[in-house]
Amino acid sequence: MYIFLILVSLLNFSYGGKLEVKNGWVRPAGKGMNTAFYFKAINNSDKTDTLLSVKSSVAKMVQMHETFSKNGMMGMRQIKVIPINAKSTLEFKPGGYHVMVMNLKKDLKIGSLAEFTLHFKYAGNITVKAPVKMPGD
Amino acid sequence: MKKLIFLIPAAFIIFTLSSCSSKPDVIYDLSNKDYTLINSDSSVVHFPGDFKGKTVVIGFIYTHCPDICPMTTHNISLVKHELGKQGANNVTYADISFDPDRDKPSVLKEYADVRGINTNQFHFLTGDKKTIKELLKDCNIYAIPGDTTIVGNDTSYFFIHTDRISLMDPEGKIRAEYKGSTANREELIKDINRIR
Repeated sequence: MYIFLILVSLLNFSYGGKLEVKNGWVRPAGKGMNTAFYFKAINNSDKTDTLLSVKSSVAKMVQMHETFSKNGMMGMRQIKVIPINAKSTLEFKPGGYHVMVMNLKKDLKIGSLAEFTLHFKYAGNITVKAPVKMPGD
Repeated sequence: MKKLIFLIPAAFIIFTLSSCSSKPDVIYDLSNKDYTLINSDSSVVHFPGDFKGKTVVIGFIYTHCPDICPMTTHNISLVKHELGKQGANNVTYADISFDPDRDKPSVLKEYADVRGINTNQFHFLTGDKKTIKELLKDCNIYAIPGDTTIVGNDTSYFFIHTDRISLMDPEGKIRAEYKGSTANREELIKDINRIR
């Protein structure tokens, strides 16, 4: 099972090879709770693309957020769209950009998979099956 | 002059040894406090009295947090794992919620279970609002509810909050603080071993 998940997490989901989404993963969380989805989006094209939205059927609401630090306090704010420059990588990671997955419809247990569809301005929709795991696993 | 040549290294060695072994200064003294809290099994916990004699690694969290607080919990879990390998049995671990309205014992239990955390050794604590407010004030922890978000037919809110792991000595005195989500675990373990 774990070998399968590792293989899935290493898969690249790409659109014509110009935009790849890889290393997606989700923190475990229970039904009704919130969690975060992280990944890398690699723009191999010669023009800037833009991540417009992320959708998933695992939660009642999904938004792009960034974590910020101000006066020693931590908070989060919604980001409507995120540009990805040509020939560059955008990383969603703990403590930074993350996809906020709110009010889960079911438990996301370690070892399961959660599907997300990322909508880019030029690359269109890219669907990712992300393993549910602890960071570093 | 010869004496001075010997004295300077000797003073340096003594200073180094004493700074390595001495405990960090007390930041907040909770030893005379008694906060009545509830754990994830709905049992009453007198904090810090029930933990007397153990060094306590404390995270301040809320379970609806998707990003920062799970990092704090994960850091504590990793420290626990490492100290377990070292045989440090006089250390215990606790997450204290600053969201008592939502973080009822069953919610804390689920937060632990989904992460595979054994709550016999890693305690998840909540309490009534007044007690939690007092405890947070005494530990200099701030948690301010942010904008309410409509999620389906429900509403949800998130906090702007202090990101903190604290180390409490066996007498109930807080002696070290770290940024919870990004704490340097090696430094934490080194300090735990100085305190315990």
